[in-house]
Amino acid sequence: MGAESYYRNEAVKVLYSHHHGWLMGWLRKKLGCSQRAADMAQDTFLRVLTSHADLNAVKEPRAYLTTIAGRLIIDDARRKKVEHLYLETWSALHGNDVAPSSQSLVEVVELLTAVARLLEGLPEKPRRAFLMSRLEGRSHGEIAKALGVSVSMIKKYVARALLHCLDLLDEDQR
Amino acid sequence: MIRDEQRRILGEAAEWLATLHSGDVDDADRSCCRDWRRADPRHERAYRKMENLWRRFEGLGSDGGAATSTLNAVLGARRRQRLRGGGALAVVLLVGASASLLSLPFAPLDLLADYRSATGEQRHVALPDGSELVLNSGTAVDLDYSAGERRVRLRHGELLARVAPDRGRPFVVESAAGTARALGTEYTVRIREDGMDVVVTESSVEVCAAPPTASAAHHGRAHCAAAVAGQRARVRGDRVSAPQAVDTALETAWVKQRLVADDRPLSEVLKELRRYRSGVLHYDDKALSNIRVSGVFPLDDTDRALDLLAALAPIQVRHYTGLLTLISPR
Repeated sequence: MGAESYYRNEAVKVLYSHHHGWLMGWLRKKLGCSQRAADMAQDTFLRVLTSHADLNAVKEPRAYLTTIAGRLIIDDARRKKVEHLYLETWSALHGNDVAPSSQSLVEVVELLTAVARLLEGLPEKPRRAFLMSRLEGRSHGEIAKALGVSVSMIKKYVARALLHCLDLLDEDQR
Repeated sequence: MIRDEQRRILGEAAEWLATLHSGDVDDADRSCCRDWRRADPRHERAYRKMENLWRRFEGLGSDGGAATSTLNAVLGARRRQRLRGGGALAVVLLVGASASLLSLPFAPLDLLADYRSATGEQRHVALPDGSELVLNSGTAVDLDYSAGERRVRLRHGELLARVAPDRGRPFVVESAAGTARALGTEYTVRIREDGMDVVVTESSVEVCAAPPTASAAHHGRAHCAAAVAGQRARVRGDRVSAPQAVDTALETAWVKQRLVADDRPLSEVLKELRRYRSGVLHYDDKALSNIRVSGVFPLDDTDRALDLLAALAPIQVRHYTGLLTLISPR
C-alpha cells in the first residue's frame, strides 16, 4: 500500500469511527428502513474511500457525508427507474421472447444511470441532439431535421452537452 | 481570467469533436482540427479530455434505440407527466404491439468487445500488423493476436478483412459458427441467424465449421472447404457448403455504404435495410410479396433509401417519430 492510500485509509477510519453511527441515524430517518440505511452507509464510506477528494480539506464531515449519501439515494432511485424503463422499451422493441442477458443488463443499467446523471439539467434539445449523435450515430443533418433547427445549431448543442458532462464530472472529483 | 481562457479552449475542443462526428466531415475539417490541436499544448490536452468523455458513452445505443428512449424517458419525466397518455408513451405501446409480430435480429450488448459499430455505423479499424477491418452496422469484434496467429473473434454482425501478408502468422476470423483462415487476402465474414457466410474477394480462404462437440474438435474433425476469389462459402450447422460463384461487387457493396438490388423481392431489401436502422421498420411480408425492385440504395441514409423505394415501388412509407416506420402497399 502506498503512503497516500495509507493516509486516506486512516482518515476514513477516523471519519467512520466518529460519524458512522450518526450517518446511520440520518439515513434511517430518511429511508425508514434500517437494513437499507446500513447498506447505504457502507456504500457512502466506500465512495469516500475511492474518491479523489482531499479529506484533510473537509471542514464539515457530516455535511460532506450527507451530500454523498444523498447522491447515492438519488442514484439508487434513478437506477431502479432506468432498469424498469429499459426493460419496458427493450420488450417493446424486441418482443418478450428475447431478453437482454442479466450480465449485460446490469452493465447497461449502470452505464445508463451514470449517463442520466451526467445529462440531467441539460435542456431537452441539446440533450436529444447529443443522444442522437453519440448513441445513434446520426448525422447532424438528420438531427437538425428531426429537431427542426439548423445544422450548425446541432454542433453547438452537442458541444454544449459535452461541456455540461465535463462540468459534472469535475464536480465529482472535488 | 485563466479559467475563462480554459473554458474557451474546452468549448472549442467540444466543437471539434462534434464536427468530427457530424457525419459530414471532409479532409479539410480533419486537417484544421489537427492544426488546432498542434497549435497549443493546452488545445491537445483539452481535446484528449473531450475524447475520453466521448468514449464514456461507448456501449450504449447498439440496442435498437432502447438506451436513447430510456434516457429521454428518465430525463424528460417531469415534462411527460403533463402529457401522459399521448406522445412518446402511446408510440412505445404501439411498437410493442407490432414488434411482437416480428422477430427482430437479436443485438447483444457487447459492452466489453474490443471494437464495436453502432446500428447504422460503419467503422474502419487499423490492426497492429497493418491489416484492416471494416465493420458493418451493428458489429462487435475482439482481437486475439499472438506470436503464432492473428485471430479476430466476430461476436456478431459482418466485417470485411483486408489482410496484410505474413506467412508465419495466419489470419483467422472466428465466429460461433466456424472459422475463416487466410494468408494475405481480402474477404468478408457475416454471421447469419443460422450460421456464417464468407465471401472471398482476393486470393483464397479456408472456411471451417465449428466442430459440433469438444471431442470432435480434439480429433480434428472439423468440416472445411477452400473458397477462392469470387466465391462464397456458407457454414450451416457443422457443414460448409461447396463454395459458389457470386458477384463480389454486389456482396461487398456495403463497404461503400451501398445496397445493390438486382430484381430482388422488396421484403428482402427491407430486411437488409433494417440492419442499418435503429428503431423498428415494420411491414407485412405477405402484403409485399409480389413486389420486386432493382436499384442502388444508400445505407448511410436509410430514410433516403426508403424514399427511393417509395418512388420505385407501389408502397407507402409512414414515419412515427424516429422509432417506428411502417411500410404498406399503396
